[in-house]
Amino acid sequence: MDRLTNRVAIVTGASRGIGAAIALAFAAEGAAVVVNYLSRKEDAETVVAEIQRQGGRAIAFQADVTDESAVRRLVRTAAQQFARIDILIANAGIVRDQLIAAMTLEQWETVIQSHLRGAFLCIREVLPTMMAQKSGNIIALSSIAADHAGRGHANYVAAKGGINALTRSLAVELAPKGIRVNAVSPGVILTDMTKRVRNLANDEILAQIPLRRFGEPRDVARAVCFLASDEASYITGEVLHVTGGFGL
Amino acid sequence: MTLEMQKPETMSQQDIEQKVRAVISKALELEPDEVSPTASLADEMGAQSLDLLDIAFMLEREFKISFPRTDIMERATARFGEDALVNRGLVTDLGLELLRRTMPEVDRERLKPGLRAIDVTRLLSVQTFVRIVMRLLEAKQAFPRQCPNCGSLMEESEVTPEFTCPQCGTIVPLPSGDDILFEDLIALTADVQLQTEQPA
Amino acid sequence: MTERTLRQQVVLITGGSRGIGRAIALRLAYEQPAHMVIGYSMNHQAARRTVNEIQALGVPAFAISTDVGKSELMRDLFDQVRQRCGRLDILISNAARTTFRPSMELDDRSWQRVMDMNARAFLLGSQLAAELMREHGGGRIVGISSLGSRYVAPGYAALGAAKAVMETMARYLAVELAPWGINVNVVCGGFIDTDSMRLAPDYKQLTEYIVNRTPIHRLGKPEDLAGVVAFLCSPDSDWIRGQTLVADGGFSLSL
Repeated sequence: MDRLTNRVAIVTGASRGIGAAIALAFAAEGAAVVVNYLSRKEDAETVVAEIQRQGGRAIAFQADVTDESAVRRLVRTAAQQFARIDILIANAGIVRDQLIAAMTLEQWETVIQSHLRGAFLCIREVLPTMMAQKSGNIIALSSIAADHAGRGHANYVAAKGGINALTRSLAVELAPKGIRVNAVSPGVILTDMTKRVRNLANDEILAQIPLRRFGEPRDVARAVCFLASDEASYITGEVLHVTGGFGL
Repeated sequence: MTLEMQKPETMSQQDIEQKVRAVISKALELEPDEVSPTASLADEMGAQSLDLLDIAFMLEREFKISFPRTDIMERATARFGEDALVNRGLVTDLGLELLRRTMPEVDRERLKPGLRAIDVTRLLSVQTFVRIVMRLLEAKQAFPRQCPNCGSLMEESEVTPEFTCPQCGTIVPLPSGDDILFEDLIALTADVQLQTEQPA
Repeated sequence: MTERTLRQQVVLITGGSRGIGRAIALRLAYEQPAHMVIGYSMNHQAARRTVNEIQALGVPAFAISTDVGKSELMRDLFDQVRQRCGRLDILISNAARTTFRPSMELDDRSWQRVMDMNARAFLLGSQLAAELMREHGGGRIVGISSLGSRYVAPGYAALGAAKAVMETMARYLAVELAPWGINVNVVCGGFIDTDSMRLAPDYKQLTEYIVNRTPIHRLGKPEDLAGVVAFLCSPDSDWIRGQTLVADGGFSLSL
């Protein structure tokens, strides 16, 4: 339980779901964690309290990842609080499902912005610190949806496809700086977000998952821990599917 | 020493040759009578590098010996110097002399200047393998059977080339084929080696 | 989280005496399995050395000489694992061998042998392993592939094709063996600096070229793959199924 001892991690969108699970798992591996949230202050503080209860270090910090100055404050606070930044988890993002013919520009843009603009701003902002350290580790949250088309969420699929391409190009660009960039592509994971979207046709989806259960946030968190650890030191530009066999 | 004297007690040279041919015909998917004792395995029987490894593996099991692998050449290079045996892909005069001494079964006509290093494996014939098997059986015969730990008589292991003591369980591996053949090479070329140590 | 994850478990690694297989063996030995079995072909000295190294880490181990391309010898191997260890929890299908030839020069027998020793060995090993694993509630199978499965390298046609078979089979096996509690994944390595690679005639130029084109700017080490395999042998990877993880320092990203 000490693969990330003395590392400092920023996890965006960490008040609930996969982000919260990653924050908790990182803390359990010894990392200090900045738990970023947009609006759910109480949830974020619960995550921080849980980490502190187990003897870990964490702070909660509100920031809209699509807001340039807010992201700047987030990163500056992390660096001031913990003296360095080793890991960035670009996890924050929202869904606004709609069939394309009926999709509003607002639905399209908020989804694209939250995932892609959010990832871009956070990554750009942590780079000076990581470059100065000559090491860093960036992991973006993608989705199996980027590879396996479904109806009614073209905005989300396009955003996640963008995340995969961003991951590969930044891996090449940032490797000389000692910074690895990877993505994790979860399958169907049970979170508040997906529960709301996917309350229909559960059995049908379940039948397509060889493990015959939905994934849990911690399933993803454990894969993220691996990519963040030194055991993955030769892996960069990889999109790791964590799907229980869904989509094979 | 004549071949007659080297012959292990339990197996005649004929037996050995027959078994080697059986192994090679199986590995190359040929009828036994298609396997000529003197023909090049590569040129006339279509053997490729994978086949040679297969043949070595099968001979190990057939005769319970430790067959040489591929590092004889490396060791010889380390011994005689970087470009002494092979230069620009061609076997040097010294290299040819070594081959003549260590592979007496090869037709002298084939060991002439201009021989490419990558073609050395094409010199291998059934006779080559018979010679190596006989040499390794001889070495096994000469290997002390007494357990170094308790002095009991050790037994040959089922598959791996080693002896096991039925009393105390001690396992003693046979010397590797590489070691044996390399020592032979050194012995056969003692005078050559002296020459190479003189400044050119 | 990954420490000592293999207690009570029995691990079999084919091609485990040297190079990548040896690095995997030593990395997994650190997790303190109940028993480790090393499959190898002819390098008895290397196999003995690796077994000694594993034992020095406090893990009982032995080596079995085999040819993974021969069905009867594969069955033998797994029979021995059953007899001597009573179970099998982890199979690392790492043994590989090929003839480096252009496609036009691949004859029937070479093609068949390369397929037997690489592609079928993975299928057969998985089948035999799965039979053993299901008796104790499941297990993990990890195949070792290489970038030749998806990109072209000189003389690599036969092995590349066999590795592609392995990656595809891993997907099918992952789905079909999931009900038995068996997880199947593949690690796809780029160029890894091992003794056998150092034998390549153009080693120096080749490695220079690769280092220059690898974003991380160094050659891969056997340990680089061993850590990834250890992850795929741990509960942390339970939700990862049928995947091929590329560990190449980013080399293939800009090919």
